[in-house]
Amino acid sequence: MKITKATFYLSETEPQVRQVRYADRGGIDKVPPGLSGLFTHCEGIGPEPDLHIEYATDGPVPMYGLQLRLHTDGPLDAYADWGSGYSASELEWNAKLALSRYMPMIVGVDAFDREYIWQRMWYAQRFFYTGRQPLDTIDRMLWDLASRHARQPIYKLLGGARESVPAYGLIGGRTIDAIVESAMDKRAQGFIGGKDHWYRGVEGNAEMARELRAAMGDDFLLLHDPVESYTCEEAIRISRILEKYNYEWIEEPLQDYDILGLQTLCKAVDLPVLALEWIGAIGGQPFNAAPYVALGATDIVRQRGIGITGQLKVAQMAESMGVPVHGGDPHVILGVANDPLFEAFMGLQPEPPKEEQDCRGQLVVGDGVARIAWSDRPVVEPDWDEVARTALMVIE
Amino acid sequence: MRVIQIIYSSDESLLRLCADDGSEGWAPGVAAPMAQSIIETYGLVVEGCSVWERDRAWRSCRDAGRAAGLTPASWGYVDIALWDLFAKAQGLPLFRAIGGFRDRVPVYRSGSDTVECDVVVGEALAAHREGAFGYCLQAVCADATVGMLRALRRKAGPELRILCDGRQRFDLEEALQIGRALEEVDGHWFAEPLRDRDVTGLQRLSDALSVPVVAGAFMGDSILAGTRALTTRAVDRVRMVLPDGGGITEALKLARGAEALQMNCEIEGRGACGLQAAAHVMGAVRNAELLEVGFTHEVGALPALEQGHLQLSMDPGLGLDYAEGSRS
Repeated sequence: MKITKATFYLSETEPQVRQVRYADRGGIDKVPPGLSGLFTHCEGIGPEPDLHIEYATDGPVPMYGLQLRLHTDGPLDAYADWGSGYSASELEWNAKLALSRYMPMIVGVDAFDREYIWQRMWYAQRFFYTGRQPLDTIDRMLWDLASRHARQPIYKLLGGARESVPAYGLIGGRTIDAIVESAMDKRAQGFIGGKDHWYRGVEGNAEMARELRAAMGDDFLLLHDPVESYTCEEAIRISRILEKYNYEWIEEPLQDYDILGLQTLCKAVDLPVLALEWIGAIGGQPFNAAPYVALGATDIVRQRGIGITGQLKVAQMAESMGVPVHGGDPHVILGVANDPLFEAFMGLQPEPPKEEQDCRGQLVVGDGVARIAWSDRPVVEPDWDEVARTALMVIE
Repeated sequence: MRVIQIIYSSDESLLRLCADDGSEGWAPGVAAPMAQSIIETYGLVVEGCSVWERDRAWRSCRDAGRAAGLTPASWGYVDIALWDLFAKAQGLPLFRAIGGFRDRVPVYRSGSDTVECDVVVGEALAAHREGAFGYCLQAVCADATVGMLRALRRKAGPELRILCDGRQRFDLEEALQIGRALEEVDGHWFAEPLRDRDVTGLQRLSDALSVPVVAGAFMGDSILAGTRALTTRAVDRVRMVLPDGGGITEALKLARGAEALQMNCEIEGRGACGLQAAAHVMGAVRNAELLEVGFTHEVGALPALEQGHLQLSMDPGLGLDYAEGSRS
């Protein structure tokens, strides 16, 4: 099934109020008590910031979407949303850039030659200085095509290692009482555990861990993610404390760049150390993850592979080196056997009605697990004539 | 789509995974005693398995095989047949069902087990004439190998890649002797110079030689031991032999581990089943350079080389063809 042509459809979508606010992300300040010299995110530390900065349009303004279609000489095409924004002109040129830069690497190639396209675009990243989005989107489009071709969800194409995976929720709050209440809520929703993102230094986080374990009992998984807010010495101290409270892991304790610090930490503590979210997000997995594993600088690899193909590479690299991975696309998580927990940052996801399920599948989170609800019904394909007719611009 | 039965056609030495829709996944070239062990050990494990749950089936078979004391080849055959069925279910050649990288793979010819220099030179020249990317000398004894390597380079000219396979016959001293001769003739790689379990020796050899050392197919657990050999630089490229080291599932996991380490996993196949499977795995991965094909390989309907490449079948699955009537 050869890819014969690429077309972008630029369309107007639902108007939205455009706004930016300080409160959306908060600020950056010293990690309490301020002695380590490290900085972290203010959210969750102390009182609400008394800083109100907000810009917004008077009302909804036009929004635009860009959809990419890869035509094939077979019965199915590949397609996905390529981008969105408030400027039609920017999106138009975004499409023209993609047509002139990426599509010559894809048109003429078999749509099932995903590895060839992945490798070609991986190397193109270096020469074109692109981020991960083009490869990520195109690889996912090709896996989606394969899924619709086989009438099986992607995780079944990957090997279908599991039908469901235990799920934990995210817990938080500005006080100990608030985070305990948050954990109680997660348990009431059926989650098997909760992960904090607290950045209060060793003393503050140790108090949180003690109170959480006391409140939740022993049958609720607790996971700690301080987001690079410790020094190596502090990470060893807090890990020993977390071990006492039977934590599942410590996540991103140091900057990912601190390979020797992570190695020291992994050697010093029994608590599994999970790393590589940030360095993986920049790009580079699986290649930058493998040396960390080889050097014993992480016990669990944060999944940040590019596209489904990249994520499978990360998971298989980890399996071949005897360590688990965490995170990533639900299809990859279910497709492999070494990704033991699902991070339900999206909260509960209800099962769609049977009549709405198709072979692509949809994520369901509930009853303490994540799974894919699907049926062998084919996906309803877009009416491309109608898409072209209603588009502001068709760019080829 | 579920597997309902494993059966064996002794006339064709063909292991067959029969699915509930009438389709079949095949592993050819399976000896009768092996087939019997497979059916006894994995029959109940695989029967009822969905073709879309390969990884689960592979894990179950591997665990059952280990518990029964069987070799990785036993579950490797089952895994290959399941991949064949998986690809057929999609109407795709196997390498494209995995995710295609290339539709033809570069080949080197492996020579005979001989110390007759004339035979070796004749084979190498034949490989060169047909366009193969290299010729692999089977090293039988160190002294003779050194002489034959020099003769090969002299007679074959500078273009032919000269590879050497020690078949784990040598000690470190002999391997160094052959390795230095390979350096002298600009050899391409030195495969299995020592026993695979001699990791210390392999590491010393790899450190000492500029010619890449390729080994690791028989280190035990093919995936974990293989990547360990790469990270410690006990080998320069890891080798995976299908089905001896396991199935396509193992080969892909090891190849991805090697890829993440920016190293090669050279895929080799033994027997008709192994060669076909190895060719398709090479069609789906970047970091495998050359496929070994012997002059007298048990390859069935293997087509001739085209510009040194083996063209992969575009038929669904492994691309094997067995007449319906000949199966019993």
